[in-house]
Amino acid sequence: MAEDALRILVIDDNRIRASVIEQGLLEAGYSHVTVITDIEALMRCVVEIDPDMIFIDLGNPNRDSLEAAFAVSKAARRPIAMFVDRSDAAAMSAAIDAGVSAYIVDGLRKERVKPILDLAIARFNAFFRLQRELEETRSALAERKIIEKAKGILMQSKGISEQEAYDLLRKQAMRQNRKLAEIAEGLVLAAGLLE
Amino acid sequence: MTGLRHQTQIALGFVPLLDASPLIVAQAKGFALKEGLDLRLLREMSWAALRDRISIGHIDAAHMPAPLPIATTLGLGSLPVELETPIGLATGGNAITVSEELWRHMRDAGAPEVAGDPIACGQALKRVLEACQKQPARPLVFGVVHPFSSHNYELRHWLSAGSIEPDRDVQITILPPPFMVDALEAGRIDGYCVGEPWNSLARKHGSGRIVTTKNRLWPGIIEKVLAMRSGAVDADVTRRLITAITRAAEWCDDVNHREELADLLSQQDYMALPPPCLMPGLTGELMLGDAPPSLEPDFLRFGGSATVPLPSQALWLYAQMLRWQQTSFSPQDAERAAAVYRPNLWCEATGLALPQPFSITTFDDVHFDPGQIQTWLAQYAACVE
Repeated sequence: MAEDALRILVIDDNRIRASVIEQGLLEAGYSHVTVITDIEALMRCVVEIDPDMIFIDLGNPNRDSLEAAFAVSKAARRPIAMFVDRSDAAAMSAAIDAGVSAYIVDGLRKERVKPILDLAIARFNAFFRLQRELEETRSALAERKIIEKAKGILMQSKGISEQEAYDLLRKQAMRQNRKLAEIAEGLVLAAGLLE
Repeated sequence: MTGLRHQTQIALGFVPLLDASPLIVAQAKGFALKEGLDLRLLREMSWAALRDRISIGHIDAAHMPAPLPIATTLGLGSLPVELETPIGLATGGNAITVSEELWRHMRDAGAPEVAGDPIACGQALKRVLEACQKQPARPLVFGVVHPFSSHNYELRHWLSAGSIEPDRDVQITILPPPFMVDALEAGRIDGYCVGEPWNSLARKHGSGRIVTTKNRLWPGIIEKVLAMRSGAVDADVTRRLITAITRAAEWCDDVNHREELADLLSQQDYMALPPPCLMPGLTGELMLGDAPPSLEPDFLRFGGSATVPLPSQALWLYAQMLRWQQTSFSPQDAERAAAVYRPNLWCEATGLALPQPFSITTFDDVHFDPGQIQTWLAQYAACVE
């Protein structure tokens, strides 16, 4: 069986993360990749696809249901959760750190599993990085918004220019050794109370 | 504080359920700190995730359904990982709930208005099934949380006592506890056996009725335990952990602490449900069938005998795996199963003598002698057509 013939199933209710992993596998030449985000359809798909490897996010609440379904499956090829004695401990540890768990059909050779597992781990980690960056961007945007609002309040109540309002906020932040956004937030909150 | 320098960090995994209370309280109320333990709690949404983390050594110990460390050690349902249980976390806490529609049929078939009696309710369900056979619809589907859970065995025991063959007459499916109420409302399942608050919640939503409880089916039988990888945590740390958890468990059992416990558990990191939803399970004041709330004595217990990991209880759970054909009997497996529950450190930590093997008699008046598993199995084998 050629590498690209391996059937890989990715189960994740996070659509973006699922497609990040799918993309990585496709780029690496694994063309038989199926992604399931709808858990309801899960069991039917597992039977139809008859996958060689399954990736599911570690925290997915449906993992016990999934494992139970494997156990009662009439199929000869039953996927088994990967453990230390299946692969090397470092790889499994990395997988758990990244938040991915893998099931492989018994008999699949370790050297074939390893690169796919490594790839999935890398993609999970890349997704977390992306997510963190997105959150940072989001909070940076929110900070900018609140500073704008605080400046507006000062300009209106004190009749000063935008630059003067900004300088006032910055001076206050330096004096109190706090972030500009925190000072702005306090001001906006206080103004809201006084309304 | 000089003591802080000697804090030992312990990572504990749990699934957000009422019976994780002793672990949550051991940390939140300082019982662990007093023993020089810095507990790090990690919430997971599946038992599989806890098993993975404990196998790889990511966590030191985990909250588990009482049969699971035994099944995992025997390599049933997963690759074998040797686990041990140094302390129990709770007895009771579960109930069986059926949909409103099924309850109406059961009432028509003679189920008592005030439910609770497992035998009468089981017989009523049998009559409903017999009536269904004349006009076949889909088979009734019941949810349980894990194949190696007391819930699965309690449900099966209850069904079969009503002459219902669990693997022939109904379907049993595995669902995470928080999904049970939704599945019942959507009509995907007709009933389930699960821990509180998921029974009282269905009653509150008007989607289900509680028919019986674990304390009635299996009085005094262990429900959840703490599991560790064999030899992974040193004896001294384990003893301190046992002390912290037994004290926390006593705190949880104190009626004066119920509201504080409900408030604590309601937090986002734990159950993430309003305290009034958690109270029926903590107080044992449940609404059975059509009845108003009434007290189920010993519905959920954390402290005292609930903490002792008795090998006789491990054998009871091993016997369930045999009864429901999850494995076949071998004297070696029986020995290994019994040895998963290790009361020696519990005795050392509490300073108490090992209690006598727990005498088990279930709701169907059948007695279990841990030395005579085959005899116990034979009593049920004779009932099968």
